[in-house]
Amino acid sequence: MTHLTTQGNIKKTAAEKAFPALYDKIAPGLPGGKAVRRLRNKAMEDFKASGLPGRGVEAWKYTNLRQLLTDSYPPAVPAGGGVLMNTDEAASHGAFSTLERATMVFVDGHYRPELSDISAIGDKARIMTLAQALETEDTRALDTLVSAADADPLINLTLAMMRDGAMVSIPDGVRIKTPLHFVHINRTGASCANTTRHIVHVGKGAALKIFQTHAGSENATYFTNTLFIAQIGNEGQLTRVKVQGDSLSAFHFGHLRAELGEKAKLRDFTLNLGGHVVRSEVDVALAGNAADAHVSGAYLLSGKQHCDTSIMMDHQRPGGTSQQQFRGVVDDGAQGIFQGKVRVAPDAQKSDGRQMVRALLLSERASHFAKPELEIFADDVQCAHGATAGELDDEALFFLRARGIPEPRAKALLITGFIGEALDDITDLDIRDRLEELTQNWLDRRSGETS
Amino acid sequence: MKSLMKIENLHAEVGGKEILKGINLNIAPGQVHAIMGPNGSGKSTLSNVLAGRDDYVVTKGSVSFMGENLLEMAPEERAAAGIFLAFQYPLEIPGVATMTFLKTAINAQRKTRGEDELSTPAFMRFVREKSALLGVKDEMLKRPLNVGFSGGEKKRNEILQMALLEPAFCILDETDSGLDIDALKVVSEGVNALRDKERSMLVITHYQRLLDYIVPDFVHVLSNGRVVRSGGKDLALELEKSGYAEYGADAA
Ligand SMILES: Nc1ncnc2c1ncn2[C@@H]1O[C@H](COP(=O)(O)OP(=O)(O)OP(=O)(O)O)[C@@H](O)[C@H]1O
Ligand SMILES: [Mg+2]
Repeated sequence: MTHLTTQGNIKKTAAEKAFPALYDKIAPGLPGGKAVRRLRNKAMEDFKASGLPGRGVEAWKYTNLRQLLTDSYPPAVPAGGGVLMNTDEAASHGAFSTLERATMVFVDGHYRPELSDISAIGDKARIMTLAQALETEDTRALDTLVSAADADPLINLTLAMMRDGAMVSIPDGVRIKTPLHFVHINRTGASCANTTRHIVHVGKGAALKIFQTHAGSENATYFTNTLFIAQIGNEGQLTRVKVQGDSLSAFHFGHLRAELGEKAKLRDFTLNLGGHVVRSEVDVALAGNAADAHVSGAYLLSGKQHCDTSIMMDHQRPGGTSQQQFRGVVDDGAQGIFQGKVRVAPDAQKSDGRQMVRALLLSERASHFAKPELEIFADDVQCAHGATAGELDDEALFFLRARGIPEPRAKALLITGFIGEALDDITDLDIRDRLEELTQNWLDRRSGETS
Repeated sequence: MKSLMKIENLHAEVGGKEILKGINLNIAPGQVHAIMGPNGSGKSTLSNVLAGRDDYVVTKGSVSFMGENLLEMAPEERAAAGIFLAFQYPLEIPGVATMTFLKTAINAQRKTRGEDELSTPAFMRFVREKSALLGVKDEMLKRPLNVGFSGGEKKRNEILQMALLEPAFCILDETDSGLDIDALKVVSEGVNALRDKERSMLVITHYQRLLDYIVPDFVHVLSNGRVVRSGGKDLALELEKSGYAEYGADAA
């Protein structure tokens, strides 16, 4: 989401002052040569000009970072000599550790080759790290980064401070079966930032499946900011399943930006469980004819969590289809936010854009805001959206209990069923099972806390 | 007389309005009692109160079940103790798979009673056997609970649950309405298969025909929240002819 204006002469917040100062200090140590440095400097200048998004910025209306973010976070120090983690421990991380997959492990934002294993994909794909690409001033990487630069302050911050990430390119026609897992782990426990960018290119008719998981030391306050740039060629397919299980004190900013060629397909699912302040953003450009994007997800929130899901579906060419399917479960004093936008360009006739968000409020203090937006400039289109928020159905609960199912288990069944409606696109049963298990664990923890 | 369930002077209200105004019933093990009565007389209210629905408030009276105070138990405890209500309007629950529901219910009850849980293969065999008897199709079991089921299919599904849970006390709230003639036979056979000298039933119906299949020991007429007449199975035939006019079937 891009529209942003400079905030004029508003007094800078502590964080707005701290980030540029921090940048000046760390910039010399960041990877990349002169061209990269210019890119970073420009991004930081833009950040200084815009400041953090506050109340006046529509795309950040419900997540006022000027208020929520009170400090900058120094970048996490690379793991140095001491071994912070062994291979087994790293391999067991993230939600999908029992499934066959290749892994790229990022600890505190740094790629850790000794903990990663990409042999299952082998030489079928070109894989390197962002740090390598920046050091060698890889043209494709730089071009992609430049084209993704825009006025969003968080994107600018990522661009200025980016440290590492994955650069993956799947050649035309190559369909990779083994999922590639980006494992993000926060390990230091200290207040620090890690800033990653992934660049994934899926060639024409090629296919790739990505797992992306985030986890961190319990109660650690840190700042994680990941931008994932995906380019999917004609008739290519990218599937991403992301599970965000960061510390309940962390700031998590995760952004997927995908551009789809003709008849290209995107299937994206995000489960947000962790984080204190979370912004989960997906921007899709349906840039080729008849591109097809399904973006779905669920969020399970408790305590004082604040989770903002913002989706943008930009139908640029005719015949595209898009779907957004989200379910939120909000307990205690937590707050869920869903902003979903469908834009249909003047010549994107026969576009079909659908959106549905439903929230389940488990406490009187829980809140949920849904803001659907349609911006339609073509006349022959089909668009539909809906948003509901409500409590657990008492009658359904009684029915289950009258069959002998104890109340906590009956509630769990209903909540799992509710979340299940967002899992329709996940046809791989192993993955579905894992996501249902995570939901179940969350529910078990909740009922453990209240009983 | 030995008693499985004893209801004494039961008063209950819903939404601040008194619906049950002093019900007395004594049901011995193995007996089948039928309840008939005009619309709105409180039949479903009675069944919901017995199953433990908490928006029905008992204001007076008592219910003892197997010597325990039923009214103090949570719905799931009543189920585990052997109370089963086949609902007049079974609910559709999207997102909850029928098989998951059945397995969770069976195992939850077994666990509460201190029995071992059924293994998945044993559970599958059990469900196959009972659903074949009741004409519940495999395809129905694959759907979310009752979602898209026809009225009659929902009723069969209720009786399937009853057959699987093998309760000590079955309440059938108008299980016959919505069933076609053949289904009525199949479902009645399913119910009769469960009749034994320990198990009791409370069968609520508007139609004498059901009682040709499930022959009751007693028939009670409920009107305006009270049992106004009790008799043998012939009472149902008599009601079929005369209607409820003489019992003051008022527009409550
Ligand atoms: N939630 C409620 N709030 C207010 N009144 C209610 C509520 N539920 C039931 N009632 C009233 O209680 C009375 C008894 O209802 P009940 O469902 O027990 O009747 P019934 O004998 O089962 O009727 P039927 O033969 O039509 O099924 C009715 O007048 C009904 O309108
Ligand atoms: Mg009724």
